[in-house]
Amino acid sequence: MTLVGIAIAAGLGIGGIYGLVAMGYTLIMASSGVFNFLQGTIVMGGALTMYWLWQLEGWPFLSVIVIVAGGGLLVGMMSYAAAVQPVVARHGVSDLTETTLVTTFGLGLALNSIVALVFGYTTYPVNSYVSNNPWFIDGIPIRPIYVVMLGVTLLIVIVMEILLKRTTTGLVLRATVQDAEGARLAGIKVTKVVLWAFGGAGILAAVAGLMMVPVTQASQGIANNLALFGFAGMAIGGYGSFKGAFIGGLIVGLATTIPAIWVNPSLVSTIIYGLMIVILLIRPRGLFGTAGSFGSARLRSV
Amino acid sequence: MTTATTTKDTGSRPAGPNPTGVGGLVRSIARRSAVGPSTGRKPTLVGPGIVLVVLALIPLMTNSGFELSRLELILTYMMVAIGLNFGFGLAGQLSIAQPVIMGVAAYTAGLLNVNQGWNAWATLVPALVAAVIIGMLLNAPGFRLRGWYLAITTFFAVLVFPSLVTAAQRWTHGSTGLGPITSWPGIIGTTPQVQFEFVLGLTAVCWLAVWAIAYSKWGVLLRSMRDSPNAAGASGVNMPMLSLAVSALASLPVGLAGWVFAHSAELISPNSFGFNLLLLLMASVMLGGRGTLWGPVIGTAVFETLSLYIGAFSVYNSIILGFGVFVCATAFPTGIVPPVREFFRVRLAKVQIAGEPSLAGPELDSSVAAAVSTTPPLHAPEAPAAASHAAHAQAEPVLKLTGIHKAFGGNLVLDDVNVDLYPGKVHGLVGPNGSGKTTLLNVITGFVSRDGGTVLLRGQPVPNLRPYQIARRGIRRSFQVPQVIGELSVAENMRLGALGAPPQAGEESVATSRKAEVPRRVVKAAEELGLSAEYLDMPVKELPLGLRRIVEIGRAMVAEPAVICLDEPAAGLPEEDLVVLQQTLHRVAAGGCAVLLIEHNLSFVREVADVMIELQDGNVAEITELRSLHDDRRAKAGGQAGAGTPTAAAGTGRPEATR
Repeated sequence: MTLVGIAIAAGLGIGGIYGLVAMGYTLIMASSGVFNFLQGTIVMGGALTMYWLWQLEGWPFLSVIVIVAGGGLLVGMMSYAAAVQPVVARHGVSDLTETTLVTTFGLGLALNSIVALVFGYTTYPVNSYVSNNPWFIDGIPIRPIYVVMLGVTLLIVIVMEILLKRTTTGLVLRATVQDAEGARLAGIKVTKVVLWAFGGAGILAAVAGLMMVPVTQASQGIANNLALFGFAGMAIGGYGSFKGAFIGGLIVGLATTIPAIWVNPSLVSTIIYGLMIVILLIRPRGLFGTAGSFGSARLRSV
Repeated sequence: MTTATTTKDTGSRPAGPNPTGVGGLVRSIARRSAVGPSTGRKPTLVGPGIVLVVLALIPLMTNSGFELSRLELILTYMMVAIGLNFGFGLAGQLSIAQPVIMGVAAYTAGLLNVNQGWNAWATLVPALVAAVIIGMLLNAPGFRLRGWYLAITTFFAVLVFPSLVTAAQRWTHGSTGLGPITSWPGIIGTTPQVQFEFVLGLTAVCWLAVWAIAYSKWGVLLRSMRDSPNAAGASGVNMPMLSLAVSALASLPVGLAGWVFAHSAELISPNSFGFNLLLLLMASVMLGGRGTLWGPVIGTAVFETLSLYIGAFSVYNSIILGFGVFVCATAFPTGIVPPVREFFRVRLAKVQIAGEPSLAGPELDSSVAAAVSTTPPLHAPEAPAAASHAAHAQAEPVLKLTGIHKAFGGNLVLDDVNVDLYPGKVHGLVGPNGSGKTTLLNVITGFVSRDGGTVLLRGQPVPNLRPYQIARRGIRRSFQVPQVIGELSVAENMRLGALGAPPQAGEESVATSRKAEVPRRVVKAAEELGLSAEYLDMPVKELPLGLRRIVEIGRAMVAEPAVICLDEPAAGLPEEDLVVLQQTLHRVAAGGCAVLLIEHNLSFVREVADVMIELQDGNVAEITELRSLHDDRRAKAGGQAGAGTPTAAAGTGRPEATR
């Protein structure tokens, strides 16, 4: 029972991370119809920066947070400029999702390998940024870092929902999602909105990498795993919904930790794959998904 | 309308907003440069044969078994790339699980060989069967998911497979590798030269199979799957079945490669079938050009040679491949094969024109008025037409809709709609935005299922069916944005309309021949539409919107349907094209077909329609017989038969359409 309790706590903590990546995907997908495969690379970048600046160089934690978030913003925006903008400029938005899938995939794997040139394929342990002394609930030890990971993600979900539903920024974003051409005619600079969406998603991914690194440790290889587990979170939780992405992330998190009590841990990715396929076959739009994004009736299958 | 300006020396289109006048030289070059296998050009195997012979001579140049085994590896990956290109490039199926399919085939062969002692020949069939089954299973989510979702789920499978093999290490020996796997018994396994020729032969068979399919009627079906899936459904093609068939076929070369890989490598381990292989395949297909026959061959030759030189698992190799995918996809999305082919073809065309101008081919004007005759239908002259009209007036409706209901969520879009469509008549469906016009058309054609009401086609009830089933019963449609296959010719696009229908005895034997000949049904439909025969060879991507709409109507006509539904065929067309379209619709109706068209342009509807059906808030507000007016206009048109166009009624003051 204690084992299951620990697994649930760990699953919710790491699930928050997958949720963050999934929300980044949703933000980009909703605003531009692009699946940015580089999100996994940015997570890995955040994790390795944390190892380098914090663990090795001993920089203050707050300054590392600022640098990682700023780096995420920059790389996110650059991924748009490098892998999406040229495609749009060449042949508009028809088949944009499919084409950018290939461009971001290629660029992402190339960057991952460049990182491997510097850091190799080694896994580096990183100390926790909060106390390692567990809190006990009902005799079950819970690492504070899991609470931080889940808590920060929850906070981001709430802020995002408010931003989207209550502010002009959110209105602009939703208008762009609903009808990019109409938004353009209404004077919205769609490209600028999309650029910021890529940047915002970059921040989410980089912060996710920073937060999770004491648990997962830092290595080049986490990029592909995070990219795909984040996608599983989005697909399971729901296409075009932040709440769905968050809950989908938690489901994926729990599916990585709970079955590992009983089965071979190398089967974790198989279990998540199977779970994702089953849910998608029953409900292609995911548990909380809508036909369009953010509850819009219009299907944006781009 | 301008007349075509014939300038043999200019090599560019005349500047100006209306590029209708195009020189014969440009046109003839454009006709030759149709991308991909297209009609009008007889497929030849001379080039591929020469390449094969040159490759087969390689063992004479080297005695090194090591070099030959490296070349075999390139050929093996070529087969996988051919499989990827078949599914992804030709049929547009976004499935990238080829490393898994290859791995499953390799492990099937390896396990049977190592554990059961089956020799290399005995493992072939099990390996292929395993590849086909896993290929179809991995693509199964595609029936429910949008394309790019399928791409990522299959990519996920590539992440999963090595860990599954590792987890099952009791049987697979995990990452240490499964072996030793024995080579082919007899001469193939013992002589490197013969083994090389053997693998080369298998690769050639895979290439040739794709070549044969690309030039057959299957080539049209596969490209329709990629470029115009809705149109394929509306032409009676059972898309889920076709998609399943493509999954199975595309797995065959991949499974074959897995089998070859297992028996020539002797030891197989899971990391041979991971991201590195996927990256190599994608880079190769993107570099060569997706959907081309030579693309995967050239791409794999370049990148795998590079990989062997750098080291397949080196960091630099994945950097190069990753950037290769990225640069190819952003900078030359068509790959290198189409531009190279274009270059040679243009040169060829220039040489031929310089030598013998007559070879330049007939000069074609790509405007609608030039391509489509505006004279009244030949087989329905004026007087009999009027008589047949009188006959139709008493005729039974060919399609009878009673009490049609449709709601989206709580929004009632169609509320008790009753409409009758009569053979030989044009029915204009008009109404404000949101009145349910498009929904009604989608209900009739099966793209939207109705909630209530009955549909009778020739007196027979039609239940809620899939679009392809409705199309097979004789109801065809067009789309507001024409759904055509750009790289194929007009004739091949029209032919799609006949491919989905159940085969008709006698007819089909003519239609399936793999020559540049045009099926008889297509010629007949073109004649009925008044489309000039020389336009049948034009690639559709070069046609203006108006002609694409005519092509869509032609695609429907090929099936000799009872009802044709047209979704705003006049939208966005210039005034002079409307006159042609109007005449085309009259020709279609004169053949006895019931035409239903959605239209916003009321004056156009008044010109073209016999009956005007007005929808308002999901109800039929009014049905107006326009026949009297119509006959009046026909009489006028008949009065000035020499002009050939009903210009008086159109009121555009447009000069007569002559070529």
